Amino acid sequence: MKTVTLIFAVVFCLRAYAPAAALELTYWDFLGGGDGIRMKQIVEEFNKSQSDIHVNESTLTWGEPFYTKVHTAVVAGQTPDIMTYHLSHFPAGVSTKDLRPITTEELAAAGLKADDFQASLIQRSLEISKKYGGTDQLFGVPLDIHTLVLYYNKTALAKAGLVGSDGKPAGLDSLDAFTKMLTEAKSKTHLIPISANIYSQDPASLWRIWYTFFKQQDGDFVKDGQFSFDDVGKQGLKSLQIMADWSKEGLIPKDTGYPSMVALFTAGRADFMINGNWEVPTLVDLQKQGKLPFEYGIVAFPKLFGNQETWADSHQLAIPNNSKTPATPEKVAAALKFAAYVVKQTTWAGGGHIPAYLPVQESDAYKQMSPNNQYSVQAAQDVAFEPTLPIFGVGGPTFAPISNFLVPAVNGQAPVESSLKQFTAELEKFQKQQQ
Amino acid sequence: MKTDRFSVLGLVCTAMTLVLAVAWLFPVYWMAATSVKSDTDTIVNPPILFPWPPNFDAFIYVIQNSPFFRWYLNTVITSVSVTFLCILFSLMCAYALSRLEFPGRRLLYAALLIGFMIPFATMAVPLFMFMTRLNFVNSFAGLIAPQVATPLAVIVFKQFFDEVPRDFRDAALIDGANDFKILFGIYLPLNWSITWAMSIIIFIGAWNNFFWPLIVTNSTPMLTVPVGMTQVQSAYGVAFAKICATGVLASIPTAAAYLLFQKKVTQGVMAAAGLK
Amino acid sequence: MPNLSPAPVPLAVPPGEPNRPERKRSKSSRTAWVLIAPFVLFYVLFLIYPAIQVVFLSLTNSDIAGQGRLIGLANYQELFSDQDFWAAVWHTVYFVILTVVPNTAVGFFLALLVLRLKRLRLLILSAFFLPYVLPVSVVTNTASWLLDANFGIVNNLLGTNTAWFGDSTLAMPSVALVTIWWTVGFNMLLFIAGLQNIPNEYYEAAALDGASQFQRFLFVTCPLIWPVTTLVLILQLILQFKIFDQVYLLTLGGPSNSTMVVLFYMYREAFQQNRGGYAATVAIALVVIIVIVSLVQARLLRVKPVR
Repeated sequence: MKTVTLIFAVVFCLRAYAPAAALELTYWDFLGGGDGIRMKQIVEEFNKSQSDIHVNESTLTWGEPFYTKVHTAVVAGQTPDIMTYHLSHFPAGVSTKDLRPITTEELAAAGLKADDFQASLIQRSLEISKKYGGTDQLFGVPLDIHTLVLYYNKTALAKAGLVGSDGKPAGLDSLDAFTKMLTEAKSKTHLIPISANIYSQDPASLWRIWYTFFKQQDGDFVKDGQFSFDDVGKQGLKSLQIMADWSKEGLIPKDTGYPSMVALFTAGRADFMINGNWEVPTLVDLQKQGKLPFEYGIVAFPKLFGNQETWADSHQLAIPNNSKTPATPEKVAAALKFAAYVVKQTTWAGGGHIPAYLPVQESDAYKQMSPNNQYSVQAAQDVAFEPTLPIFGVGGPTFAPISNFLVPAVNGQAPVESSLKQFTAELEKFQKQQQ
Repeated sequence: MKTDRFSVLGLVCTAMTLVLAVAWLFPVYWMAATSVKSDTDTIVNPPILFPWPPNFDAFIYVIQNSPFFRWYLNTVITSVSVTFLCILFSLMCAYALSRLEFPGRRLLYAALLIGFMIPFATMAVPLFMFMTRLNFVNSFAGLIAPQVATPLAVIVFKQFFDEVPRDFRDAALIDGANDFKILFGIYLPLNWSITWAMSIIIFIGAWNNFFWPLIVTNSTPMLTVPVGMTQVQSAYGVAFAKICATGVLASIPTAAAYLLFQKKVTQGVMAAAGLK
Repeated sequence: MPNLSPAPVPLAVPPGEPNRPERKRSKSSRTAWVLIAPFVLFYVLFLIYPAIQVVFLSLTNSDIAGQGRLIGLANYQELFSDQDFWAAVWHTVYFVILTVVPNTAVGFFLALLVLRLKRLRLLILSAFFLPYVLPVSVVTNTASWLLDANFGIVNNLLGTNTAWFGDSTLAMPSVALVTIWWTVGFNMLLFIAGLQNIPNEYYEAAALDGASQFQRFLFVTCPLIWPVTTLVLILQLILQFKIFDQVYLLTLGGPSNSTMVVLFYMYREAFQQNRGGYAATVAIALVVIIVIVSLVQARLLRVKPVR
């Protein structure tokens, strides 16, 4: 009994330490790895730079568990004061009333206004606000844009004569040229042409590539504001077929998990890697330590079809909607002050992301950041956000059918046409259930 | 048990046993070996079987970027509390079921058996909502409370208490003892092995519990080791050494505890099945 | 009036046998209440109450927050014609087939091997038991790493690129294999205890009768180890039907739904599709299945009904 009392006493003391009279903000994010380190750094600097607000950061698991926790927190009435949130999950979050709208006045009090941010982001955000929230206010402060980029092994490609005089790979102007170049690269460099994450346990990467192909052929899931499957069977089918063909010809690997994909490229065993810009710091660090056995380059994702649109998403800083104990004006002001601080840092761009805050995006410091400047200008123009439907987005129900039907199709374990049909059928089922 | 004859077959069997034991331990060894390699060394082929000298970068990264020691503390507090409360309450309840008359006795026992068959995950949602109302979310109370009432210990203790001769209790009653004294003075001492065994089993179960802490915790400092380690996993870059380092850190406590209390664990579990 | 009988009382006394006078019965009732109170309190609050809520939820169309309205048995009707649910049941049965008997058999086999040793016994026993004390997330991490399609040492040694968890035919057996590696130690211990309990006299008598080692195994060991075998089989059956953590951490129900087990299906319906009511229905169906299967198994193994 004594030991138990002692244990409880210790626990109580641990929980009871109270800092000075600063306003405490609870901040939830899902950022791990390099991004997590950067965000932690920003939070520490914020806390040090002033003594009115103290931010307590908690990192939760990325993806569906995060959004489930947010939803249960909202229902239970025990929410954080500010959190990261994907733009692609806004349709779902706004329609289930998990997010609290931010008024123009509140933004102004923190020194921000909508015009300060990348126009395409704000436009998309407001579309969602209107369609799902019935308001013309924003539901989040945009922090960044992250998108797919093409990493390449300059050394290996140059040896095979596949690098142009501008230092960029050849064959980036059409699908045929690209495929031809990949085949040539395979035979000349004896490396895996593209390292990609095609794995049923982690369908996000495959989805992003497929979606990019889909959008580059002008495919769309939303027509006239309604969910439409017309294009899935046409452009969608073609996209899937191309990826399956690439896999069959050994141009992309089968069944490769995320860490394996990065490992294959950084070990010099692949010519290209199609991945998000967030791996940029990995390459920068490895090169600095002299552990990268080749010279690397990055370009914005090429125009393989009719346009150069590329999958993109955005990290936003949002305020959860707590109807049981609504956020006080002081807390909202403090949260937005913190958000303003975060978006004005160039630290975050060190993670390879494109800053959403225009003064940072257009600053000299950012423009000179290498290797970001190899891709960021073009990539910022090519952004194609996920369909504005609640079933899509990070942690949405669509990840399951992608994993179950599209991944095996690309891996050659299931026929392409029937897989796509099953995929579409699942999406239709979800859409019906949402109503 | 078997006669000790020297035979080729015997030698082969022993060799096979050793090979199997090595094979069984190999995955654990491999995880530890990978954790002390540099990131680039983890992916060379043919693989490096005996990394030397050990490289602790992965460990440093993991410890610097996650509150692993806080997680250890949380898990210790939770597991010890759960074990203590569960064993204590189970002993009391099992004794009553075994030796005392009361209405609803059969019903209670049946409820315990059914409860054993209900998967915990099925009640996660209502349990979480209940925790919210009690304000137990993201707290030790929330972690500990649902894990205390495990039917297994009661069922096992009752079986063992049934085997104790009734005379002991009857004699003690005549001497003026009450049931509490009998339970803690006679029945418990007679059943130390199984109590130890169940304590260790409950402790391991509580320590390794993954799903419930995942649901009821909300903040990084409140996580337990099994849940916390899945977060460190989302490291970018070539992550194999870091993933394995996390695994090693997460395994050390229970593995060490087992190796220290080996004899008690095995004797206890064996006594459990032996006396059945 | 003393209520002691000096004659030896049989050890196995069925409950509810009255042998005390009224007055003592009510006193023992009160003591009993006090003794069972703490456990029953926690049990009712944190197991019975949520379980009842699950039953109630299954009759509604609630989302995961419990907000919805009563719809009677509509969820159950949907469940009956839900192809995905029945597929999940089949996958779970498949998993059970892959684990229950093999895990028991391997446990028995390892117990036999361990008991042959004298000096190395504790060491070898620890080797087989060690995985059992590891948390499931460590076990799945280790398994994913060893079986990685590109960099895993298993594939390196075999010279292949097999995706153990990415191939729809291999995924479930791989999960089963990992589960067996993880949990067999416990079964092994139970078998060791059971085997050690077989009195040596039986073997000596059989040897005197001229039985060979194999015959002694068949006619002495096997029948006498049967009660422990029964116990292990019953525990394994209930345990493996409840599989969830390994699927959540290794395969997320894929690929192509090949590892979609009932509990994971319930989790998906609750947390991804936000259908709390329907998920509750799935949960109840699973419990019913477990109870039925356990009873059938108990009957088949001719276990006496529990006292």
